[in-house]
Order: sequence, then structure tokens, then C-alpha cells
Amino acid sequence: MSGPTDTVFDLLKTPIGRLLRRRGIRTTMRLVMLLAALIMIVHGFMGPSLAPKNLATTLTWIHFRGILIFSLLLAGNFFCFSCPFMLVRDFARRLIRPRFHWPRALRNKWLSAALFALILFAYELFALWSSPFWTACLILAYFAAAVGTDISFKNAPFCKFVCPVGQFNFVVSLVAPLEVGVRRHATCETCRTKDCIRGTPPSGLVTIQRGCELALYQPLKTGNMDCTFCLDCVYACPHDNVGILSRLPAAELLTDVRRSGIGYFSRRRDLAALVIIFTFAALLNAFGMIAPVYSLEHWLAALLGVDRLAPLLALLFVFFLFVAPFVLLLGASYLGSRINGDRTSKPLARATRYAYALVPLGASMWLAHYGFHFLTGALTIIPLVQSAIAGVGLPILGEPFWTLTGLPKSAVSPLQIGFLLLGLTGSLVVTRHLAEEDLPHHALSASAPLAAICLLLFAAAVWIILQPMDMRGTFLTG
Amino acid sequence: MIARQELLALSGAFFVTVLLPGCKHSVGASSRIEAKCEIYPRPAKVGFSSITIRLIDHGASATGAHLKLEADMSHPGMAPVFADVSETAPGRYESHLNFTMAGDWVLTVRGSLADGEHIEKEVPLPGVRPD
Repeated sequence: MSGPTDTVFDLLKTPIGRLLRRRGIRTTMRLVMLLAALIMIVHGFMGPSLAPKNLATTLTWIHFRGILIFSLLLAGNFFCFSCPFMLVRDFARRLIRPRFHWPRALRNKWLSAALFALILFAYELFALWSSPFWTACLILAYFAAAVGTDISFKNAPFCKFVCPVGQFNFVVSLVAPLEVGVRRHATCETCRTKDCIRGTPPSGLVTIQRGCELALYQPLKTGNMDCTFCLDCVYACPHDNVGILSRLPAAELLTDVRRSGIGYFSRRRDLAALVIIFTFAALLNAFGMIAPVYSLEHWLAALLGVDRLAPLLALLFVFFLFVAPFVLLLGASYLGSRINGDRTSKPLARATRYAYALVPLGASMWLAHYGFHFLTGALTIIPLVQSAIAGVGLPILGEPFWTLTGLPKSAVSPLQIGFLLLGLTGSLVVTRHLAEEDLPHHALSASAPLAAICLLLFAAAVWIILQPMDMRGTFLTG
Repeated sequence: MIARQELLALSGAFFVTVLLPGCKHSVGASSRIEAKCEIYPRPAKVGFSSITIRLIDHGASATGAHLKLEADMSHPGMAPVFADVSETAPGRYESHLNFTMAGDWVLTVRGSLADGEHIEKEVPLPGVRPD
């Protein structure tokens, strides 16, 4: 959390940080990502139709997701920092100035939470991992949505209210070890210009520097929610008072203060819903890759007399992402109140407050899943690049080494369990801490119901991880 | 700040890619040949399976082809499996593949016909079962 920072590590004071402070670096990073995206789109449309032989599918579903989750958890939201959509958007905004304000009714996470669930649904329904064509279409759709949204509406509504990847990054970065924050609050108290939020006004030949487009006012900013690490505030601050500071991962979940641009977590049901979908989707997404899901599909199909995938999948999503979490969290909240005779808090309000405790566990499950694919398949990029270059008539890298993959599965499984244990520990600590704030003398019993849910989710996650993988896109096959 | 020319070049490249969905990769392989694959056990399981390929050229068996077999999972990130193929009867080719994981696989029969023409055929093999 933001605070006096003489004693904390500040990435911007290191050689890497000094590099990051150069505006050209952000543009360069975005150009690199844009180039990668263009190559993926071209290869997705024109390259081999087999997913493991195509850069669009392999880079998106193995490398992008893996590097994303590792970088978020090891550092912070540097993927949004490098976001290629923003490069194209900024260019488009030079041609078309946005005229409208994002509708008030949509200034929340409901839309993005729904889009997040919808993308995961489409991923399963259309077996996106196995289709270079549709993966390329998805990347293009992201560019179109980012540009379309931000040339119509002022500030950065795509990042804050629409982008499903961005929301994923925001939630995971709640447990990241770094955050963009104020170095010395005393400096902010004497600041009159507030450039970090307003931007730097034009001055002679000096380029205008925008302030935070996501409405995060640095002196009141707490944590990483909605922070894209774009460093606009760093560039704008005339006092050089914004850094990338170290902190205890998940520490921001231990406190429920009013956050700039966000408000109180405990009053944001939309945010809590996003966190819940994020956590339960982590399990559902991994559950889709093991054999029991097909047994469940067949059982449901026979029970309902349905032989089409879409309604069955929709049913599974509704149950696992909405019904089950709602019943579990509301039940735990009600039980916690009853055990301690706490009549003051309503179950829904309690459930909203405690939902954020699930973030470490959810993040660990995404890490276990995406980390598995990345660690066991990281080297597949080498033969793919060899093959892609040979495919354009330049076999300069020789015969592709198709047998290169990554770590053996047996080496990755213990790591996965370790990730999950870390996540469980984090969730239990946050749960206990919130309960101590609410009922200092009955913290153990107050936190017990939600702790039981954490343990249940952990057990489910371990069970999924230990199942043999069954990479099937055809649910109702055979 | 980025130069306007660079942005124009990049955006041009970007919008060209928007026009690409009409293009499609072609393996440039023989289209007159039909490849029929049979697998044992059925359904295929993790472990070794026998693959029989029948090559048919305009209704007649295509003999004397030199073939290789490759099996890829439909999910990226996994190593493909390769196997040699031998002709055991006119137009009948046999091989053994070691499926390393349950799930959807795609078999690719690749090689050259007796007349030297290149052949490449993809055969989906969904639902390989756990052992």
C-alpha cells in the first residue's frame, strides 16, 4: 500500500526502473507486442490449421497466458503497460477524438465480469485453443473493441470497464509484490497542480502529458485495482514523487479503505462478483481439461435429453460461476453471523466483504493451470518459429526440433501443488484478518465458514491437478 | 512519442491483416489421393496403437508410396509423435503410434507417391481415451 517509502524497494530507482521511466520504452514495448500480435494474426489466418503448428494458438494459449500470470505475480501489471491495443487506440484517437462520456450505468465491473465469463464460455464452446483462425479473429476483435470503445468515449473506458484481460490482470495484481504509489505523501499535500490525475497542461513546446485515465488519484490510490502500470502518473508528476513500490503481496486485501477511483471494496458488489467469477472460473477452466468433465457432460445430456454442447455448457457455467458461489458464500456468511450472534451485518454485505479473500486462491489456480501449459510447452516456440520461417521460403533455421517441449509433467505437478498451497495460505490469512477486524474476540469462529470454503476449493483444485489431462475439444465424442 | 510515419506504417500493416481472413494456408499436396485410416484398439487409448492407412488413387490402391506418420494433439504445447510407415500389402500401409495423452489428436500422413508426387493428409482422431 502507498505510504512513506524511504524504506521500501522502488523499482523506478533501479537501472531497470530508470529504463522504464523513459517514455520511449513504453512505446517500444507496445510496438513489440503489436508486432507479435500482427504475426499471430497473419499466421492464424494464413498458417497451418493445426493449432500446435500455428503461432496464433501456441503463443496465445501457451506463452501469452503463462508469461502473463508469472509476470503479474512476480512483479505487477506490466502486461497492461505493454498493451498493444493502447498503441493502436492512441493513434486512432489522433484521427478521431472521443466525444462521449462512458454511460454512468456502465461505470462498474458488471459488463467486464460478464465478458470475462463469456470469453471463457466461448473458449470451451468453440475449442478456441484448437483453432488458429478463431484465435486470430479473437485478437482482431480485441483490437476492434479497444479502438471502437476509446474513439467513442473519453478517458480509458475500455481498460477500466470492458477489457476482460485487463480485469484478469487487475484481480491477479491484487496479490502482486509491486504497486505504483506515492513516494512521500507530504509532497502530495503541498502539490497544487495534481498533474498525476489532471495531466500536464501544454507549455510552449513541451508535449502535453495526460494524467491517469482510469481516475486513480495517486495520493488516495490504494493497491493495484484498475492500475494498468501505464506510468502516465509517473511521467506527469512534476515532483518525481511516484514510484513502483514493493509491498507485501495481498496486503491490500487486508484493509478496506476508500480507494481513489474505486471506493470501498466492501461496497462494490460488481467487483466482488468479478473476483468470484475469477476464482471459480479458475477451477472450471481447468476442470474442462480432465476426463470427469466429459462424464458429467454425458450424464447431464442423458438426464436432460439434450445432445447439443451449447446448452449443456451454459448450464455448467451458470452452476459453477453463479449458483454454486452464490450459495456457498451467502451460506458461509449467514453461518458466520449465526455462530457469533452477529445481527448487525447482512449476509450479502458480509459475503461481498469476504469475497476478496478468495483472490489468492483463485490466482494460484490460474497459476497452476497456465503455469502447467507454459512450463511443459515453453520450448515449442522454437520449432514453431523454425517452421514458420521455413514456411515463407526461408529454411535458414534448419529442420524444426518438434520434440522440444518443456519440463516433464512429473516435475511440474509438485510446483502446482506448491502454488495452490501458497494461494490457500493467502486466502486463509486474509479471511482471518477480516474476521479479526469484524469480531476481534470471535475471529476464529467468524472466519471458519469461509475458511471451509477455501479448503473445499483447494481440495477441488488439487483433485483437478492430479487428474490425468484429457485435452479434448469435443465434449460429446464417443 | 512515436513518429507519425511509424504509426502510419504500423496501422497500415494492421489493417492489411484485417483483410487476411480470405486467405488460407494450403499444404500444396496431392488432392487426387484419398487416405483412409483405421486404428486399433478402437477407441484409441493412451499407449501404443496400430494404424492402418489405405491410399486410394481414383478407386485403385496407391502402391509404392513412402510415408511418415505424425500425430499432434489439438491443443498446442505438446510434442508431436512420429512413426515410420511400411507397406504391408498393395496400397495398405501400417504403423504404430504411441499416444502420450488422452484427448483429441490429428494424424498427418505425409510422404511421396510412387511417381514422386508429394502427399499430405490430415485425419482427425478425436477422443483418445486414458489408459
